[in-house]
Amino acid sequence: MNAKYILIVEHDLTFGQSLSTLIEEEGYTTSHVRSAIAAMESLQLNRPDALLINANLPSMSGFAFTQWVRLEAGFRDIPIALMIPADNDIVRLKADGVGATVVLPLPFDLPELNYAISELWKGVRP
Amino acid sequence: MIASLRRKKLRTRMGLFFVLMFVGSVAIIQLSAVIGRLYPDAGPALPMVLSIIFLAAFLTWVWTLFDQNLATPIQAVANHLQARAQCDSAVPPDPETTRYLGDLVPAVEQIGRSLSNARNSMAESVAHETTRMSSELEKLIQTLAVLPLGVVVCSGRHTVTFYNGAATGLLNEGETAMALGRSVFEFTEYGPLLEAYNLAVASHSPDRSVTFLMENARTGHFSMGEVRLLYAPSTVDAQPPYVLVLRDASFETRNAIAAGTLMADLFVTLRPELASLEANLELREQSPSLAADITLSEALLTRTHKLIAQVNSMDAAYRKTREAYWPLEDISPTKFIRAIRSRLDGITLIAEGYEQIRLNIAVSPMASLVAHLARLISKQHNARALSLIIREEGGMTVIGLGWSGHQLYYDRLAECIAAPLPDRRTVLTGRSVLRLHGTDCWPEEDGAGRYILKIPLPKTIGQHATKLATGVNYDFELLRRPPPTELINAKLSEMTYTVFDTETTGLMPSQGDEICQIAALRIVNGRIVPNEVMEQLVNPGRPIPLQTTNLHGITDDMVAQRPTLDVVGRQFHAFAKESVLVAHNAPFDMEFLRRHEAGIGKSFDQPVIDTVLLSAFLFGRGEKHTLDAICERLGVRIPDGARHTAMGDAIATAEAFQKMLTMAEARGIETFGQLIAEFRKHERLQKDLNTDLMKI
Repeated sequence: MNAKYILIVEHDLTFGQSLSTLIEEEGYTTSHVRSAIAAMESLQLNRPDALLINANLPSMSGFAFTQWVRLEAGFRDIPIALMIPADNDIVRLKADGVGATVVLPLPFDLPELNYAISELWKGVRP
Repeated sequence: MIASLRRKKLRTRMGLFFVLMFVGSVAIIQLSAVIGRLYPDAGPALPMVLSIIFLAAFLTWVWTLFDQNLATPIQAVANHLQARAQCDSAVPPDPETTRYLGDLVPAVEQIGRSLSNARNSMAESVAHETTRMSSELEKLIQTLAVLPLGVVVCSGRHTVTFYNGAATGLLNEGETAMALGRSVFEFTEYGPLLEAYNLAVASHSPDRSVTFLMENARTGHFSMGEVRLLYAPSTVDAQPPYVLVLRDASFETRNAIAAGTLMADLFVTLRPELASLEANLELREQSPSLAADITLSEALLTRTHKLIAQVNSMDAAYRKTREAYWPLEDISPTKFIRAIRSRLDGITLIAEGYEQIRLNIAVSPMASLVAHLARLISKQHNARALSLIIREEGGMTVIGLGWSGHQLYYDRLAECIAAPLPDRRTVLTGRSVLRLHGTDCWPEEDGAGRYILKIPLPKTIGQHATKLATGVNYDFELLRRPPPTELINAKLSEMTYTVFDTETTGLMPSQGDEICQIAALRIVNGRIVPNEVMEQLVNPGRPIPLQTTNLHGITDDMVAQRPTLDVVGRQFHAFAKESVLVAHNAPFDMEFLRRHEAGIGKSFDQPVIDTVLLSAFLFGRGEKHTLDAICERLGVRIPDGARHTAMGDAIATAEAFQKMLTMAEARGIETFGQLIAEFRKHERLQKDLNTDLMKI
């Protein structure tokens, strides 16, 4: 069985690599890009099963990128976990509003990350 | 001849009198000469004597005619003119008596008419002017009443002679409510105001104002005060009266303090923490043994956690200050929609479903933002009509802009809200308006090809603009009131009185009866001051017997949740401070109060005037001196249902007291000392309560 492929969009190199390692340890394949633009290119080449996006990205923000994915006919049904900077009602609502499947407030620990990843597959056809 | 005379003019008539005298005299002289010739023996003197006699008789007759028909009527007309000068309704003389005066009477009437016309038009214009002035004054007072600035006018001795509702809200610091005739320092801190006043006086100019900040010790509110003299100080009046304008500055002051604290925290607390963390990390980097030390790693992690927690709490504090810089208003969506529409040109906004909702927003900035967003959407999608949605969603009120067609790109939106709002002169951006409301905005799909741009409003953000009290109280006569003298020489007309009445559980304080209601009002400078009243139910700490409930209508239920006399008595003591207590049958009420002096913590040692004694002095001991009897005698009407309520009786007592005070003054009793001396004469009827105060 092919492992599910998750594209990680995180500007911070160290944090992105850590996320990559941790998620792969759970049996997924990942790749890491550092901007929304790079993610768009990567999407065209290799369609991921899910996206893990940091809301705070330089130039095009994670919110904008999430919305872009939702508006693209080819990608709109890809589940997205959106990492938000603080657990705040308004930001949570906004993340929901632009189309995040799961909202993951920073900072989080490993169980929280794993739980969020597992939540991504709910409502997705096997 | 006389009949024909009536038709002639006055001048002709006078002429005719003289012609008559001339013709008569000639005829008499002729007749005397003829008689003299008939009786030559009588001597040459006869014609002379005869003509003198006949002329005397003739002239007397002519004089009588003149007097009756001209002189008397002229006098009557003169009297009428004098009366007419005083009043228009003076009755003109009988036309029969003035029938020979020709044009004189009609002329007088004409003068009278024009006089009264002139007088009436003068009265009319005076009345008109008075009405205009009083309605202007009314408008001015109304303006001052609703002005969100506190305005207080004080005499040079700091007596309050004018204050508006807003001032009461800002100044009421002590136990006492703002009141006319009191020292302003009863309501505010002594130092800053006095200092500002002295500076204003020292500047010798009514154009210079002195600003100061003060803190209300009771409410913790900050007010910005401004003192301005009414006129420049002079040798005659070195302490001129002044206007004190107050503005609630809590908002800015607290924000400034909070921001300052935050900055201090940032630099004082955070920097050393970060520095030590950095040092630790650097050492760890350089030493392999430290790098391998798990305890150190954990300690560093704990420190980092602590730092994050600190930053989070600072962030929360920062959020509060930045959210507070623009006061939020509680408004109806209708007003908000109007504000948005007024900013939109060529775009139709269709409002949806907002009936029951109130918005807590900074109206003008938010309207600018929504209008700006509406323009953006309309331009992007070439839409002429958008819907404005205001609805409850997930415990929040959401302001939304809805449209059909294509989604709005988040990037375009982010760009748009990062720029300054075009219809504002300030650097206010859409982002700052959103921050101000502790919120954000984003586009969402709303189903069926519809999209919505959402701005949710969190429930507990920002602070409401406080509602200020309205109303005005003033008595500028107080500006001229001379400094207080010794009690014994104090003028009755210039004293401040607290007229009060109590309702009790019964008539026997010695047997455990207690006060269950107090009502009081103030008479300052001879006038009952509207609004400066106290009316308070008191928990008597014992059941109220049915028969007394029937009398005053106060039941056990009504007083169960009320404060005790220890508390209310203290309020009353403060209310009556520096005034003369006035009550009907004062010893009765005072007995109840004085029994509780220990619990109240104050003693009622003010001078007291008993209206029973005042009535006995004025009307004699033989008369009845019940409140009803006194009111009836003086024409004071107690409205039905008000009798035997504490406030109703207090008002009746106050009105009767005012009238009796005037009567006493008419009898030469002008000072408090004189009045008490009179009271002592009636001690067999009622004991005077001022023995400790005055030994007369």
